[in-house]
Amino acid sequence: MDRRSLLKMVGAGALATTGVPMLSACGQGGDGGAGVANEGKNLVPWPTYVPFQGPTPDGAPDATGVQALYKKYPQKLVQAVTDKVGDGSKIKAMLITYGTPPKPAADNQFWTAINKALNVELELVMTPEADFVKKLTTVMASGDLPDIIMFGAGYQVADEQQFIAAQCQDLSEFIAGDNVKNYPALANIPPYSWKGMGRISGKLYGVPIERPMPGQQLFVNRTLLDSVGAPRNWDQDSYFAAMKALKGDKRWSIGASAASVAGGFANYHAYCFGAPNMWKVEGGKFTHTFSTPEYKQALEFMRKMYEAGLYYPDSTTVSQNDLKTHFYNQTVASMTDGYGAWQAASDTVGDKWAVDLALPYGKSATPWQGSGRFGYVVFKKAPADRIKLLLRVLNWLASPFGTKEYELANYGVEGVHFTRGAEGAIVKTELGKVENPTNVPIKYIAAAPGVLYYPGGGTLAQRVYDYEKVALGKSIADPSNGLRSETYSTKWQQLNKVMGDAHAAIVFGRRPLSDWDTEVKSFIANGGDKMAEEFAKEYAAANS
Amino acid sequence: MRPKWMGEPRLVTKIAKALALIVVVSLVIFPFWSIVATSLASPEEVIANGGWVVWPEHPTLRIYEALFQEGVVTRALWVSLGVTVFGTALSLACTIFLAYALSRPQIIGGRPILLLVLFTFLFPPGMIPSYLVVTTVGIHDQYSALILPFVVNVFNLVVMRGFFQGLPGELLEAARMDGAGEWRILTRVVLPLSKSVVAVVGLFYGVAYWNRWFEALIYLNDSQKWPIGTVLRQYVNAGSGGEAGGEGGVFAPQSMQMAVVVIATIPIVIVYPFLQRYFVRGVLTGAVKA
Repeated sequence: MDRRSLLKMVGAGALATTGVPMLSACGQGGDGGAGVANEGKNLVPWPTYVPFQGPTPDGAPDATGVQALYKKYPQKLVQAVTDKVGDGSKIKAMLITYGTPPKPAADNQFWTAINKALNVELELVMTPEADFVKKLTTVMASGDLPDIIMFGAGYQVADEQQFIAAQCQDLSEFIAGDNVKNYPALANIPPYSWKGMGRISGKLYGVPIERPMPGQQLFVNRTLLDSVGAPRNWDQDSYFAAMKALKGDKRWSIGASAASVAGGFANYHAYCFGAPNMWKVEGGKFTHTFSTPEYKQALEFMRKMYEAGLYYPDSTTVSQNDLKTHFYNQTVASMTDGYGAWQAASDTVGDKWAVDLALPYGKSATPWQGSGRFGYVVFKKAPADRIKLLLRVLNWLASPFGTKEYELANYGVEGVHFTRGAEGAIVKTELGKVENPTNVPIKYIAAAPGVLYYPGGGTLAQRVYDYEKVALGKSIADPSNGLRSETYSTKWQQLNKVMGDAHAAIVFGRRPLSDWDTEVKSFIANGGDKMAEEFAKEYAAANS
Repeated sequence: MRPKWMGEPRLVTKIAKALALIVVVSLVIFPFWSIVATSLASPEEVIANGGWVVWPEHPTLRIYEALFQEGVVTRALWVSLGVTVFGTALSLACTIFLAYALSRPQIIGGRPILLLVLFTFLFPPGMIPSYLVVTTVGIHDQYSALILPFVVNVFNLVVMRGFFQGLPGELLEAARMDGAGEWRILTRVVLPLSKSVVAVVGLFYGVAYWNRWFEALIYLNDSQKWPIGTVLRQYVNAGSGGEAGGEGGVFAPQSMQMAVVVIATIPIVIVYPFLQRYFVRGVLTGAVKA
């Protein structure tokens, strides 16, 4: 082939690759996202909250979000669902997974038992977390949708709400207001979780997968902290002194990973200094936490800790998984992780040392609440009978603690996946460690609101309960939670990455602290101000 | 007199060379050895050692037994093997036929076809258009989705076409004068002279099919049809990234992750030495003729 032919082809290709998308963009005639906002729309009521009257807890839940504490597994379980759930049909659900690949349904006793109980054939399209967004966006673009699609898991997909409004079923007539009472387990999902999911164009399109109020946590090695006399209720000085005392030969007091160094770990310190939970609302005006003096003070403190040599040296590169290994073998004495990690961490370290949640230091600390949901599921458009069937499936899977359905969905079949230990405690069998709702991720279709029960026994559940009692009273919510902003959905990931890079550069001494102000100005100019404006309008509409 | 560099090296030079070789080989062997060693250690020992074990205190095949008993990895290995064998055979056949046709100057429409093929090389389709094509032609969620979209690799085609063009035209002309048709010329003259390029292109295809994991994730909803690469990725990623979603998942033991890496690597390691001798000859001969 000669050079001229090659150049002609390159030109034609460039035209094809740039021109076709432009033409197709012209042809869609979308509303640019304005249609998903709730401002100026008739808002359907949130589903009525009807709490499940379950077994009496050892520690009562309260309005601040403290979960019910159960020191023992309930002796008598109730049957939550007596009516037939499914019709034997196939249900395809696309979900995230953090587990290892399971055996197929026919060879998997857990999966088979769930299918039998639901009287459906669950076909799970499981996507590992690392590739979840790629798969999700591809499926969204294809139009070839499964019956149930899960969104969330900390990801905001571009045009997520626009896609849902255009392609998915409006569930308002089925679950808004008192209609949700037809599905008692869904009515048992607390309001903060529904609000965390939010409405789209004033309507309800999904069902949230509830998570408790506390957001990301600083997990600490309590045994090591006790050895240096660190108080549980610490202030900034005693926290710093404890971290310095824990630093030793081949041991670092602060474990941060590439994911958490400007994420969960930074957030812990930001709220210890009293920074607002992502956004602050004053007089109806939104201000991002990056712009606040408290956040900058936290940044300065983190830099001070780095200068004192307290950070694990590979903090900007180490993966969260590898960091967990370092935490478990006590190379690092603290790390941040999702709130749900407390059970897994304790399962792993056993009796070697005590895992604990760190209370925030600082008198004006404002622990940040999570979004109240892990994610949410939406349904492909379908006739009303099919939608009701899918909601019955969700209702069964969300059956609360203290029911037979909860036991099966969370622990599997007695004698196969678990046995009873002392006082009826759940003891997982070897098969139960492989066949469970982590590896067969039905818990990302629907899940019961969490309670504090730890099958491993001990005092861990009590410690978590005590933590919630202290921390949640002064915790604050993210006011943008569940609100819609077109700018946020398109620009947040990119802007947050830039701010995260700047954060790491300042903490690790590569840039001066004064650079933060410049970065904040850039953040505001490049979309932060637009987000604030859009959230403010949504906030006003939601609270009018 | 022989030049200095062709003479017998001095003892010091020999030792320096040996040391350099030992260092280089160690740099290659050590990571692989640590993967094998970690896979043979218990999860507790791996955690105690900070994630990697160089010399397991109590080596055990427990993890391998568990993996093979569970069946997921075994099945994925068979899937990968099937896709690699069938895919490589089909790809080689299609590439040989197309390369041979495009290497003949007298072929009608050869130039536009070549341009069309090269166009896909310069402007590969994105993920979503490919997904739409796979869905539209009805191979979504089928093993063929791991083969048909990748059946001809343009780079391999160009290498093979170049090799065919480099064969002496007199040989082909002689065969033609003896009454051989194109099929007979290809199978009796061209291919016997092209073993090296066929071997190396086959190796390229084989390794690509064996390592293909992302497309399986996108095109195959049924995880039972996933090849070993996709299953391996799920093992390695299990439990990661949960922080943002608030999960804090349980990760698969490092020894289990490394065991899957070993299982996934062994077939390629076994095949590679047998084809290596064709490697340099095959690629270089094809590359210099365009």
